[in-house]
Amino acid sequence: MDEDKYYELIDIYKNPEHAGKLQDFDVSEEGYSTSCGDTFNVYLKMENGTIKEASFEGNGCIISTVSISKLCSEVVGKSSDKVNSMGLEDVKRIIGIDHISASRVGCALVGLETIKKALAKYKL
Amino acid sequence: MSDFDANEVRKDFPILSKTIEGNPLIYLDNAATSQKPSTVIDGIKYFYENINANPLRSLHKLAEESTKAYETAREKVARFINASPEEIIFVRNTTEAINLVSFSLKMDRGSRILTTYLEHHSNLLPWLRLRDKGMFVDIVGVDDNLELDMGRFENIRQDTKLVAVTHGSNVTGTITDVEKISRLAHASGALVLVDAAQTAPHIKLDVKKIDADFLAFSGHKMLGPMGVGVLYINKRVIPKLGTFLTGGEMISSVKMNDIKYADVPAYFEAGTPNVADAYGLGLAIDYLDKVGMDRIYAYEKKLMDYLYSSAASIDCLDIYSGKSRERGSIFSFSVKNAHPHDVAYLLNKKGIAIRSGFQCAQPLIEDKLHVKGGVARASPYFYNTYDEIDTFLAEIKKIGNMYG
Repeated sequence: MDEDKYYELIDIYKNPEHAGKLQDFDVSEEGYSTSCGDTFNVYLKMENGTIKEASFEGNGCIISTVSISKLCSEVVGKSSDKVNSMGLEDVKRIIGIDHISASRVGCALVGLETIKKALAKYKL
Repeated sequence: MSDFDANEVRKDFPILSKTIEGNPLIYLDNAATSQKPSTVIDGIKYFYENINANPLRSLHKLAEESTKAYETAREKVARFINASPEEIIFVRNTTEAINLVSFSLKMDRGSRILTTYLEHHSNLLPWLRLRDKGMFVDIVGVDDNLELDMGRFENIRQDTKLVAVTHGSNVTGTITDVEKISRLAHASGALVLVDAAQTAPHIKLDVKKIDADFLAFSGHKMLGPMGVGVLYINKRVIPKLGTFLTGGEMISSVKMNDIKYADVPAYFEAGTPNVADAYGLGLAIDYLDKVGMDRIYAYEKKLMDYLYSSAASIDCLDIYSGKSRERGSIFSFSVKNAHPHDVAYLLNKKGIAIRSGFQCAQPLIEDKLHVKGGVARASPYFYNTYDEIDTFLAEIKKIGNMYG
């Protein structure tokens, strides 16, 4: 990722969409990124086996925050299976960057992993 | 004392002429590991091309030379910290050195260990682990100036067996008064372990003056190769220690029902030792001796004063280090509104290498500095220049403007 792209993400980072706890949610889960040391909570509202609404709480680095924020839009309307099939390539596409260094992969994935954990918990 | 010229010593470090992302490398991550001079890099190659053999046991010529290389390195380390060679144990790194003590020091259930909030995880987890074995761990706090609460050492409980304390924090840069701590600990009957990982590269150490029972440091932070570290054990405490790793090289005779162990240091060096890297550490010490630890200390002190005074006028910075009475070559900071990982990332784009995160000292950063998500840290060494500090701070200002 080049520097200009990074700075483009700062605007999203400063004021991310879907930040804050949903008033009405079916399941929540806490996620932790060992690479940036950041903790996030995600909240999901489910309807007919798909995600109706998603939000998050927490602060992290630009990669973790922007990816979790954008994922909260991306996963709406998707089933567990569909979300579980997503991976790093999808996160890269969603935040619009082609390369994430090995040490930052945890930052990129913390949002997706936490949403997957929340879905698994909801199914139980 | 002759004038010290960082630009002159830089020529001895091949990696310092590299470019990163199209910019000259500015390496400010020395608290994590230092760079290596050609003498060390070439020396390790020389060892494998000319000396390599398993030392100590084999009788052939190369084995004899390998043994000599290993023991000469031990003598150099001993001289470097004013110890005797038999008090020097080669280990992998500081972490292993401290674990060795935590595994081998004989302590009854219910004994207490006193350590501090300034510790790196490597001088914290080996003690916290002992709580599972029925020991108690007490933690000394820090004040607003990032100094240890020295009053805690005035009243050490009688059942405290060991005081484990850092000589220099890798986060706050605090240099602790280990001589005083040793004196107070000994007065109450406790042993003292000093983690010197952050000071051995920068400050002339004298174990007799410090009067520690154990002192640990890593070779790789002081120009040596990765994979070799040092544990100094004062001769007087040997009877209080049991085995650590067992196996080859650490015995004098083995019968199925009667094992006689070798004396220290071999007693604590089971298995084929890391001779090549010990040899490399010896060469690193030669280099430090040639430059002179006093000159290194004096130059870095001026460089750090310059860094701190220049940084004081930068509004976007929060600074978490350097408030103590004496400070090491550590500058921990954050840029307002920016996560430390993002600061490290953007600095890397300019060729500047720093560390970001919890710095292996999460309780200190979360509980005492009250920072979530870690801090950024620049840690210069004697080969860093004033120009590099200027470039680093100029880039920080730019990042601050973008996030402001």
